[in-house]
Amino acid sequence: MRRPSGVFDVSYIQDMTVFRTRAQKIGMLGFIVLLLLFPLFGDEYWLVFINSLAVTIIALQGLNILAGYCGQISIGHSAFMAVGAYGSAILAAQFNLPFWLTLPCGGIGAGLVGLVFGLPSLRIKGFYLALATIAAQFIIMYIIRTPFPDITGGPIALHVPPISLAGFTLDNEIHFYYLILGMTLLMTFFTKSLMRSHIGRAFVAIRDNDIAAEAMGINLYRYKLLAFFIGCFYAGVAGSLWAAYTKVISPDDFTLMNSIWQMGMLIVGGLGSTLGPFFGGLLIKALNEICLIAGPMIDNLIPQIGAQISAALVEMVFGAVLVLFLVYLPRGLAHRWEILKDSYRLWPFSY
Amino acid sequence: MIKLAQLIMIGITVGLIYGLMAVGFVLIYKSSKIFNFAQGEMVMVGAFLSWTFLGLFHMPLVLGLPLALVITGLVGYSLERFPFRPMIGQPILAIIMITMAIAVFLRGLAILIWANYIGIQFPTVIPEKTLKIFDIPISNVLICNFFLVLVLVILLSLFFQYTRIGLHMRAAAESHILSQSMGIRVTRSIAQSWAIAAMVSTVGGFLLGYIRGIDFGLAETGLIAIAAALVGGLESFKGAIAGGIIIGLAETLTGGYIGHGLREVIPYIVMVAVLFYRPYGLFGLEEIERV
Amino acid sequence: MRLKTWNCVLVLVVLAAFMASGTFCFAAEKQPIKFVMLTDLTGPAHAQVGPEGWATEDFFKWLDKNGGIAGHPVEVEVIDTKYNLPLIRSAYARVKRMKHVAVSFDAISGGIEALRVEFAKDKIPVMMLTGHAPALYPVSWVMGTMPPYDDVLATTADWIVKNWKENRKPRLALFLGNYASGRSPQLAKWYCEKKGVEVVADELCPLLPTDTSDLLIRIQDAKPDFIFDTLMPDQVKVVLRDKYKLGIKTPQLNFVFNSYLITKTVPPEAYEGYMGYQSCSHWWEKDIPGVQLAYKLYKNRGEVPPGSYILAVGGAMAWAKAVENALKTVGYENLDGQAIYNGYMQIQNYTAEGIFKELSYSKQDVRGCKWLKITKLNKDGNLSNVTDWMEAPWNLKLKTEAGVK
Repeated sequence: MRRPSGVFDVSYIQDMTVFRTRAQKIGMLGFIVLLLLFPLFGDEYWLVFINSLAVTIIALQGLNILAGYCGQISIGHSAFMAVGAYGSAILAAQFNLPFWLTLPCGGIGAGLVGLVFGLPSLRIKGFYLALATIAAQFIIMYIIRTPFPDITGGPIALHVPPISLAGFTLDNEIHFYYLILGMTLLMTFFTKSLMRSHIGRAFVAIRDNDIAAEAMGINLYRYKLLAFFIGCFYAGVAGSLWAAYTKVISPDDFTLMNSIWQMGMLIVGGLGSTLGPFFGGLLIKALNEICLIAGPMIDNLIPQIGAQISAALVEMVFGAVLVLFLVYLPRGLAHRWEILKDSYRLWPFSY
Repeated sequence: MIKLAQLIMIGITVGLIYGLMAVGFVLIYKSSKIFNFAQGEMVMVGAFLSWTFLGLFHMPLVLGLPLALVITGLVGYSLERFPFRPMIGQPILAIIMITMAIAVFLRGLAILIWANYIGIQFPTVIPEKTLKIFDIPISNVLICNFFLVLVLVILLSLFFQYTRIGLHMRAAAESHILSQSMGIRVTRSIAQSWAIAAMVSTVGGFLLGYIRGIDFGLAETGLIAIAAALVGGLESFKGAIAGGIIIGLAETLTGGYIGHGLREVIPYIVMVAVLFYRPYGLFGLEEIERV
Repeated sequence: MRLKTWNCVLVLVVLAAFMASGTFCFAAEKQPIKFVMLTDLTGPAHAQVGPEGWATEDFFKWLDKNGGIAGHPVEVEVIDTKYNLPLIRSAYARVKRMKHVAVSFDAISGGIEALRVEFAKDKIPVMMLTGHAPALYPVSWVMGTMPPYDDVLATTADWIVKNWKENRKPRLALFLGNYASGRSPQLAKWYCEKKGVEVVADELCPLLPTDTSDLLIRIQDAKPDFIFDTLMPDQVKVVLRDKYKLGIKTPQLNFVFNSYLITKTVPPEAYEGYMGYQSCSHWWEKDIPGVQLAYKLYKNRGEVPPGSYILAVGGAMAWAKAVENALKTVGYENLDGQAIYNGYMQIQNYTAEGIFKELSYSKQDVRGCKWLKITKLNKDGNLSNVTDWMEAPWNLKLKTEAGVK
């Protein structure tokens, strides 16, 4: 972590702190204030965009902990989001539990399911683990879709009762904006703190070389399962928020494609860095919107192409961007951002 | 009893199709240690491309199909140069995700070019007749399929075992440095393996598309083919075919006796079971990892 | 130096992305009326839904060249969101702020249910060209053009009971496509039981199957007298072939009957006797002016328009009529959702040049066209009527009133 020139660390606290200089502290506070005031001048389209982006970011933070910090490849993350979403929706619909209970229950439920499907990670890794998580994706979605249509609404959809916190019913984009914003900040803070603790260090050791980590005394069994639990807990929280926000969930929202996209967003943003999900989610979602808007325009210019251009563009752009990032920027945008900051600080000696 | 026999025959023939797709997957893994998640999409694009020549431009079979094979072979060859050569030596996650990115890209491309054609299928090569083998009705197309796939697999195994190119590919897969010190151009071997895998996928796409018509769903079958390859072991062609047959049988038997949509998820359950008990598959080679 | 270039390029791209999407959002509309269709052209249901998107595009482009609506030029935009709920939501958020816009929406997934509440809240009437039952009841601002699929199953029960001569109960098997709307007929199972039709099998056909013989064998084991299916053309193709191979001769009814496509993809001995429902006139009823218009519009794409194309042409005509009614009442400047809704309410006994039997909307019933008829495919590829137009019972309404869970 490079400090600007003239700033020296003389105590352990100073060395470990995240926001070291006054400029960083003011920057962070200013950014949060901007976010809080955004609904006053932003219009609804942006609120819708940011709400769905923020929920995705929470899920991505979870995936980051699992795949970025701990190195366990998981391409089934959408299914764990579904567990959280359906879990909290069913608890609210069948047992009338309030939102502040269903949210953590959804998260813990997803975490436990993640734990069960994370058991293969003790025996297999790499590609085989990726396949096991893909299988988890299909099996979980099957369980949600088919055997219990009365409880889960089957393949059609499940209606989520409107949520209220402390007697105040949330039914407006702006209400959800604040709720989701608060949750995102909370979960990001939690991630950062967790990864700076001994748990985070154990995860990174496992990622780098798990056999060596075990030789050094890290209990692989415990920490791998913990990574799955925490990562899927985040996914469950994101899923519960998503269910509360959209009020109708169906199994089509949580497919394998969603999982692959989440992993892609994370790679584009940067694995193993708390900023990664923000950058990745933002870039990919912004590109999606551009494609959706550009699609009909291109269709008007070149009618032979047909209206499917918007969907085709979304996929092609995603695939192309991901390939380009993997080849040229494998450590993602977060890494680029660090280099940018460094080169600014070292100017004119940056290289 | 008839029902069981019927289900078994259908399961084997369907499983062979999965096996053929799995063979393409194993081919790439054997030669370059890359897990090709884009296998399904390659089959789909191969099917669409051959349909474009055979169905849209009405070329005769002997001209259209080889043309499609040549084009996909060239595309496969060039795929090595751009995304895969920089990926040599990268962590496994990058390799998996890059093939997935290519899969998504190919899917988008197929949508762009061919979404306007629905309900398309190949012009008939052999008129379809229902034969009765041991009193069980089965289509002659599926029987032809059976034999074609067997021939193809035998040819591929022979190719890998006895020809120089095949030997070079196997050597490159095992160790790049040693192969290069023996004078083998590793990059060319990898490119050749991709080209052959792309051609096998096109043939698979043609056979599959012939039976059930061509549409975007061919890509979904790809994932089942990967599961089949895993069950059989990633290093062997026999394993790929055996894995395909096992999964085909599992599907039809579940569909016939249990039903309730379990049929769709059973390939993955089988795969997870195999992953637990024999992670390297039934015919695969075990890898021992040292620190 | 190279790093700096990369970084600058990235920053500029991201900024440009933001500004670009911002500008396009705020682009204002002038005198023309814009018809926006949010659909799912290329998902698993694309054989059914694709032609509907094409029909919307073709019809409004033709209408623009032929006088527009009450003299106003017409623009059309079809946005393909491919089932992706976040994309659907942001596309809708973008569309609803545009002025002088009429919206249609076709998602055979849960998308429309998620947005139904928003349509009512934003007072934007949305036309729906497919038949997704939960979107039409409870009544809201979604306007249908064909009876939803559970109503089709209920009509089947009525038809079976009316023509059943034997003493025992008739046995019906359900062979449903494994997608959201495909499974919606399960909502009408109670109606079949109530009418005295026994539902003996309920199998799901995977979306893009290689072989369905095992499912057919299972269905046949239950010895049904009729099979009702919600299969799409890709599934129908495989199922009919397997059915013929296995020698199963049970009469089977399809829920939307894409008959021309079936004659092109399935051999005649396999499709002979296959029946299906039409909610509007189809390709073989060529003397109807609406169908002729559909043929004309479809010319660039192929010879014969599929059933869903003709339905969508009719639906687009109704859509345009609602806007025309609204224009006559409040004029161009005040054209908003409420006005278009009132325009829909004025549509009574509309046939869209013969495509529909009749299309009517009222505040209590927004299903649009309630009529269905059964037709049958003959060996030579032609169709013949099995029944006349039957009125479809409103399953979800009856179910709620009967208190069935």
